[in-house]
Amino acid sequence: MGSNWQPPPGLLDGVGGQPASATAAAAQGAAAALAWADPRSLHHAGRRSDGLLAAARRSIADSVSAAAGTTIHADEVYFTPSALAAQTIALAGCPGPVVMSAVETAALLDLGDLRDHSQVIGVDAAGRVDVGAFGQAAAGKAIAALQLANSEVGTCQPIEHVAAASPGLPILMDATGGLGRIQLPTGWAMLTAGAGGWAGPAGVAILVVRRGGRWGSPPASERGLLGGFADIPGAVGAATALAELSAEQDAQHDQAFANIELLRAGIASKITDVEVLGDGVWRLPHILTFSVLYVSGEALVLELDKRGFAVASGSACVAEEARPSHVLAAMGAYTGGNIRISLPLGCTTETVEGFLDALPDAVAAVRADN
Amino acid sequence: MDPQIWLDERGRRCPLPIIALNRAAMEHPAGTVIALLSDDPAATFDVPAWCRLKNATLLSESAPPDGGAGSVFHVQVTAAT
Repeated sequence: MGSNWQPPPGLLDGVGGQPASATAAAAQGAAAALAWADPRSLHHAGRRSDGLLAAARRSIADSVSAAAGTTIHADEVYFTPSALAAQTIALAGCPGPVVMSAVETAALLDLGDLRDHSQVIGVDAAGRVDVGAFGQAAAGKAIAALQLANSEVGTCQPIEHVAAASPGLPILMDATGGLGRIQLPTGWAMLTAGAGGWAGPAGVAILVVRRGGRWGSPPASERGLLGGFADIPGAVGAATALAELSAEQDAQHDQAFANIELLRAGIASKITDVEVLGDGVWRLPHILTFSVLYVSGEALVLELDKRGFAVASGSACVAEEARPSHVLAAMGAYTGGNIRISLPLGCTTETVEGFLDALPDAVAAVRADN
Repeated sequence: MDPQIWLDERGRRCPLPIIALNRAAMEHPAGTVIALLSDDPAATFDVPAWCRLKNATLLSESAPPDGGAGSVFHVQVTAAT
């Protein structure tokens, strides 16, 4: 295990990117030599691009089908340059107010806020949305936006319960971070995900639109391309990377889940004045966030970097960050001294144990400066 | 309840206001009311969270008496803090 992906030692910020697997990189490189023409062109090179694009759509549809336990057709899959572009286009197909959780991405919350009568529903201390309040707010809304799971804290959202509580309302599910890692629930109408979440290219995302929704195909779609997307080699790389992960989803899930469990217990026992956040069980397998009192999150990130570990932070202890993470704030969590760990694919238990060994010294070094 | 301790932490970013609050809480007996003035945007979230973690009581959050930026947090130290 871990042979497909070779993340650099000490990388614990997989959400921020990791090197592509050799297989995905090779597929993308090969496609770059073949799929350079506009897939709408009728000449030979154009048809070759179109064929590779169609194959990438089929491959993504197969991977999403396996995760969803139901058949997703190739013509329900679209490529876009970013998850945000996918969400923007999905929302454009459903004009009217949006109901969304308080822990959606900041960009999605901004888009929803542009519409009159949109509503934001709060979350509990673990970051899970209030199903009853969500259902009550569904009346009169055009669309619901609810993530599969939160990429900062890992907590899964009760998509199926929300779908049952708001019948007839299409759910736009942000599956970034979760697709390829966990099985998909039922009840969603549209799905968006950035390929970076499965070690695919950063500039590729997908939108999946289930048939039988309010619109047949998203606005401004051409041959599965949306929002000006033109990177067919990238689409091939993304499809290959997702297929590769899907084939190993269970093994990667179990290894990451166990490693995060190790970290949750280790951090709570090795550090004083620390709050380990998010749901410990109903979560993404590879994500953990915690807040350490009396340290600056940014100082702790730099101290860990000195010791060879790359992690992220949701704190705002420096002037450049105007506000701390809206996700931590919505949960009522302590936002200072925050560290987010996201295991890259192929992360070993040795890396995790090394981090647990280094963390107490790093915290002590920052606290000594107080 | 009038505060016995005033901490003016304006102009200081996290974690400094919370460190000052914790220090004052440790130096004073249960029942003491501390007023913390802070204009750190994180304080709105972190003072209540610190009180929850340390079993202190957040009595109120209000605008500063001089009308300036930030908030005044009234925090009561408890035996468990």
